[in-house]
Amino acid sequence: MRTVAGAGPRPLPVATIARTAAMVLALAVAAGGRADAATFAYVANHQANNVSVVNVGTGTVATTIAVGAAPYGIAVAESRGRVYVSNHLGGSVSVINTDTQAVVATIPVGARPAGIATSPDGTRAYVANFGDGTLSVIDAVGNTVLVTIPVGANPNGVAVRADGARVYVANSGAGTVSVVDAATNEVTATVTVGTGPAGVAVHPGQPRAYVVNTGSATLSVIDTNSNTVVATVRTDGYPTGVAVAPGGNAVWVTNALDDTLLRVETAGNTVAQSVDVGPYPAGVALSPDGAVAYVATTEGDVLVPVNTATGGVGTAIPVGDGPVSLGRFLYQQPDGVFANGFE
Amino acid sequence: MATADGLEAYVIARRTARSSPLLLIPFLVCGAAAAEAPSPADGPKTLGAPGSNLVYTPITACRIVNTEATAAGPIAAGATRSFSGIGEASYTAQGGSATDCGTVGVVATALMLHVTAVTPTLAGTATVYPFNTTRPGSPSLQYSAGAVVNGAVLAQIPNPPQASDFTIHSSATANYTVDIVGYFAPPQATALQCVQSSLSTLDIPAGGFATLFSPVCPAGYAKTSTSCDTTSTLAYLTITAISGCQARNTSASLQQLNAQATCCRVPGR
Repeated sequence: MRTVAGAGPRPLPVATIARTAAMVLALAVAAGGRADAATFAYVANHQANNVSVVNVGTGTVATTIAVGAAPYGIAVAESRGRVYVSNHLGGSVSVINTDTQAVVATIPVGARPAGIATSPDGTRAYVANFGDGTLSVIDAVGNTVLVTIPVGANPNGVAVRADGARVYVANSGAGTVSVVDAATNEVTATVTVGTGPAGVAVHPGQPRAYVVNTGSATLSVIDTNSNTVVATVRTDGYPTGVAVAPGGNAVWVTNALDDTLLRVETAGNTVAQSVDVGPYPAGVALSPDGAVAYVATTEGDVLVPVNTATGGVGTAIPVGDGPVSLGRFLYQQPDGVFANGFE
Repeated sequence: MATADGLEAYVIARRTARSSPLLLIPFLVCGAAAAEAPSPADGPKTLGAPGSNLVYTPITACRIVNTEATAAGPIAAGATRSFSGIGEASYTAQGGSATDCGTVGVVATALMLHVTAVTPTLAGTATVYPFNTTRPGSPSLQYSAGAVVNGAVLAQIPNPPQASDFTIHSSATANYTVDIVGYFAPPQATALQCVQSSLSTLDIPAGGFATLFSPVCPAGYAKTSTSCDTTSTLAYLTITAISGCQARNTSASLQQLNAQATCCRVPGR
């Protein structure tokens, strides 16, 4: 099992807070010890119209899969061995079989599909159609659209609550979050947040949803019981992607125009750390153990590993052109080996 | 001696021994001939320099780009797309107007554009820059996800023309509209606006010598030449400078000297 550091040829700027070689070495040790060889990052390369499948254990691109035009959001369904890719300019969702690393279905959805998320059991996929203000609910078993739900203007990021009962959709053009009842497929609440909300993520154990507001440079913390904003965290810049650590102690936010990754403590809702990760970071996802945050930098064309304990930045992994990868894009193969021997 | 229009004149009367033959210099323009030609060593003059002293021409706003109306659609995150901004018969291929926007035949070096980013998917920037050049570091627009953001952009374009005029780089996937509202072009040479002054006259006695100034020019005009003549074919005249005439009456009788100025200005208010 190899570490993430030292795998790629292109080093990136070191963290603003912790940038010593010792810390990079610490990252290598930490990530190497925890990032399972069977953990893969599915990186949507927006300009290349493909997905890089990165073995984060070796820090190399295992394969590249052609999908639709301008892939944008990624969602994984480990229980069913599927990865879903929204094709923003293709108006479709590509379904990847992780055993064969091949596209097994392409599902037409609405206009300019953006964020995508799956239910915990992997039977549903939800994709926000940025261009027409709707949410497509996909039967992930039959690969068909079950229903299309009107939400707010320019829906973007999507997240599903840990119990699968609620779906949260950030409406960039409306400054709201639509709360969808997954049983009835109806919008049950609309929560006003900041300007230009994009990424959204939910806490694994607490009734909290986190949405980044690109226009007002804030992170809104939503109480998912009352559907109200209970805290607003100043991030500055243009926050874009968001992910909650598996342990729930921190929220990680990409700040697109500041080229940084922010750590926000969930206990006090305060920004605790800022790490330079390279030009235009967009999607962010945490390793299953929470030790490493992986950031897709759209203008750097790389996947950047960040040690979440130290803030140390590992060696960037070159991927395709213009990676975005909004959503949960890390896939952990349960038994470590794919059916076709791919690893 | 006072002239007909009140101009002061100096006359020196003296008798001449010889009878002068005919010598008439009718309306000799001397001002233009006196202007000094520019030397190559002087270098380009600021006023009228085709590369820097540009002239702005406003036009009615005309849509030259609407990516949403094209098959290519939005500009993808991190991508660039190049456009024509002037001189096309139609801009429908770029999603714009079916007209020429009134710019056919125009040779411009910069365009005044209104650029609008329409509902970008994420926060980002748009940079408008001359076609086939390196993208500058500072963006033209900055926007948040789902926003509609516009701004005026002064875009330099290649001159002589190339395949496209300007390029838009978009850091987030977004549609764009671009309206042209004016252009900057090298200055065109313009003919001077000239008028003739009134006539001043002076009687010169036989054998006399006189200097007669042409009338002053109207306000805003500069005297560029003076025309001199005499009513008699017997007068002997010499012309001195832009501003007046000198004459010697070599005839045996009183002669009248006339002076008229040519007054010019650069057209405008």
